[in-house]
Amino acid sequence: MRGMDQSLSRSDVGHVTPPLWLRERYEWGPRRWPMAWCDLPDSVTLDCGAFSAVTTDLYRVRGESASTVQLIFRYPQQTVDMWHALWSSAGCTPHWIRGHHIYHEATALFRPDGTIDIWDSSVNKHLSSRDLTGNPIVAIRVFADAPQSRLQWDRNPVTNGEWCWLDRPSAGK
Amino acid sequence: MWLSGLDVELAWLRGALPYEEGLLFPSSKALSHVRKPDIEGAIPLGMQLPPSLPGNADDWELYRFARRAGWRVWVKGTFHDAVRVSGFAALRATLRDMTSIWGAEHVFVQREVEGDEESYAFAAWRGELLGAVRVEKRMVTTRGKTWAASVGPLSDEATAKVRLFVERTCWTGGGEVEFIYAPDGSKFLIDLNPRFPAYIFGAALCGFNLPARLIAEATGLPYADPAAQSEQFVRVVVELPTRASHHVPAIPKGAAMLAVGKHPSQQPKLRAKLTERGALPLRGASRTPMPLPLGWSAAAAEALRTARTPARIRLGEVHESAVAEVTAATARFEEPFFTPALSVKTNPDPELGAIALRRGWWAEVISSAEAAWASRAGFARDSIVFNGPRSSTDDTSAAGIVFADSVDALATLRDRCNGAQLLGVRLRPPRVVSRFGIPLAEHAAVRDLVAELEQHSRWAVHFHVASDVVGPDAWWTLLMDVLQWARRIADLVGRPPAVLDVGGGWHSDDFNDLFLPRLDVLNGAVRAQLPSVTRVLLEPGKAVSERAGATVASILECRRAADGADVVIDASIADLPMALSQPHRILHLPKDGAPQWLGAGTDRVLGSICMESDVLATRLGFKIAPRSGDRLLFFDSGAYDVSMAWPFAGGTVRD
Repeated sequence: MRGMDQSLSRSDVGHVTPPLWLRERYEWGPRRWPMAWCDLPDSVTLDCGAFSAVTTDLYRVRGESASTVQLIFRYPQQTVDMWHALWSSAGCTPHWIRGHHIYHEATALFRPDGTIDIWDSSVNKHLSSRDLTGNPIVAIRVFADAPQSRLQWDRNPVTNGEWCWLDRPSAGK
Repeated sequence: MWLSGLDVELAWLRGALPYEEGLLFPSSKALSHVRKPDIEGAIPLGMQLPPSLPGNADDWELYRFARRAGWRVWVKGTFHDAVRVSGFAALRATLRDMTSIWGAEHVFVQREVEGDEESYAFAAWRGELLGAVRVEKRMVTTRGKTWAASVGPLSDEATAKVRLFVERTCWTGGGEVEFIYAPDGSKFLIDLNPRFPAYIFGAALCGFNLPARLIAEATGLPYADPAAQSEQFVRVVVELPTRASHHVPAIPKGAAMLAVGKHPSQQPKLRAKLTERGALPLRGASRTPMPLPLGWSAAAAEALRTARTPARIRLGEVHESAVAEVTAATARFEEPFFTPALSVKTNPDPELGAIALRRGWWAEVISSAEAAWASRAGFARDSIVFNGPRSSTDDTSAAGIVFADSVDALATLRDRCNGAQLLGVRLRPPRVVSRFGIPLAEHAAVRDLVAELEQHSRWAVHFHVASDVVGPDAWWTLLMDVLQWARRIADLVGRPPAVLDVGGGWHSDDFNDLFLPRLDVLNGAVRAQLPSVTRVLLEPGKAVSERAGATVASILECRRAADGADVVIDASIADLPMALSQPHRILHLPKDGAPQWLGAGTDRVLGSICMESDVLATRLGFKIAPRSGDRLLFFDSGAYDVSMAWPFAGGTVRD
């Protein structure tokens, strides 16, 4: 995986990108746990937890300060119903869904100035709290390797190891 | 009120409408600031321009430009059209097609810049910026047109730059700044459209109705931005019923279809009208002189003395010089030692082999026949390297190092060689599309390779990707990538490689200008990643043999074509097979008169066999009228033009 990242996350002229290739290589979907690292080569589908674990490792190999970030999203009923059915039909427990809320994992990248970027390999994008639409994030919890007193994600103060609730209108009605 | 959505149309309207009132598009003077490719508007916008060449530059210059860009280039019209091309044949064909539509002076070739595509769409009235939005492209068509995007407000800094542009040009109307946001933060302007982009309603859906702002300003009508429905939009195709009064005619057939089917907007005809009335300044051809090949005058003299054509002319001194240059560049390194190896397949001329042997080169072969050639030429067994898919089936006993093209081949070689030779593997980096080597992107292949290498007491690694296909920058990145893969594999095997073999389809210009000066970097990278490697084999391949030969042909017939001359010669693509994939420098040797180099133009050189593909050169210009019996001397034909030539139309069957 590290070799693939070294090859596929570098442009022709050497610019390094987020590990976009992961989402090309793996589908997002239900995944039985426990899962071992040696299961990765033959896997077709990863869930957000697996995407986050692999992505975090790849960023660390690149020399970045990274860790898994926990998120809570709120989605409309029809969306969570669809995911519930998808996980159930695959024989997986949809325990990450509770009502309109879902639990999600991505990768937090800690910058020297205390700011945090969040890369979500499940959807191949940087997460932002400022999108006006399509952004149902309601809470976030990060775990920095080197505890810092003042962390900030997208202008939101974040306390290491604690759930931080974002003051946002809910998306599901 | 006049609002145009087509670049040529609004330029034409400027001349056709003799008044200013109600024209909601830029003045002729403002339009001059956005003419591609040297868009003056890039300056107030604080953006760079991607490198470009005019489409009527000569093939040698265009080939060099595109090759060094790794064939990430676009052929564009100054008004409309953009086609990405990925090889010389496609470049030549696209230039021909677009030139026929837009005119040679209104076509250019632009290097693709790596990064994210963005746009600023804006509206302005008499030099005052009325509004602007930032558009991040999310989906683009094959021609680069925006199909889905995110829309948001412009930053204060970007707004200030667009305002400065609008003020300086006294802009009226819509506009779109299309640029690439490069990973290093710089911005490259790729287009500055003097009109609203076709997707502008998508911006309105996101709360920014720029056309409404423009019309409100021009008319004094009240206006308020609509509520945003989203931050993104995607375009769709809508089928509409037609009115009986606007009957759509039948599609023309055959050639007529090709002529009109692509541009129902009639923009090419408008462009022609503009050119006729002198409203469009024409771009001149590139002024960069073509570098003359070494030894050309001696070759020209020999070409005139040659009794029969077509014929090959060996440029032994040029080869000697090229071999000496590589030898000198590599000799200054201590461990790992750099050893050049002659690729026999590029030109199995014994005299060229003797030159390399005298300089201490090794020989690289891909068949038992070539291995026998190398032995006869005097290369010792330890200095013969066997590569290619035949290494596991051919007799390789004449070679000291043998590389396998697959794990199965490596296992076969292990059984057969029994430790008598150093065995190695060719690795295929994950991003490379190739039929050769062990695919590192496939986990099972890597796992099998590691298991196989555990059976070997020593091993070697081979990297080979064509530089003139992927581009010198990408080639270098891939080489560094392979070094790291080799290190990872060595860690798993528990035994590092002893030899690294590096090859790769270098054009001689690139090899001398870009590769040899970076040997220090390669030396350092090998020491860092693979300190066990004691020898690095370098295969310059055609980079040394290409210039060592020329081909002389006689003109059989000169025909006047629609826009130039068609010159038929007695050679063909059977004699110059590389003519389809790369240009040659061509010297015209008149029967009476001084030699003339062929430059850019509209003439063609056609071969002598009855195949449509037998076109040896296009888009070139004779400086003096060619006549039957004159000779043409094709330089840069000393490598695969020799070894891949085939007998054709000679009344013989290949045995």
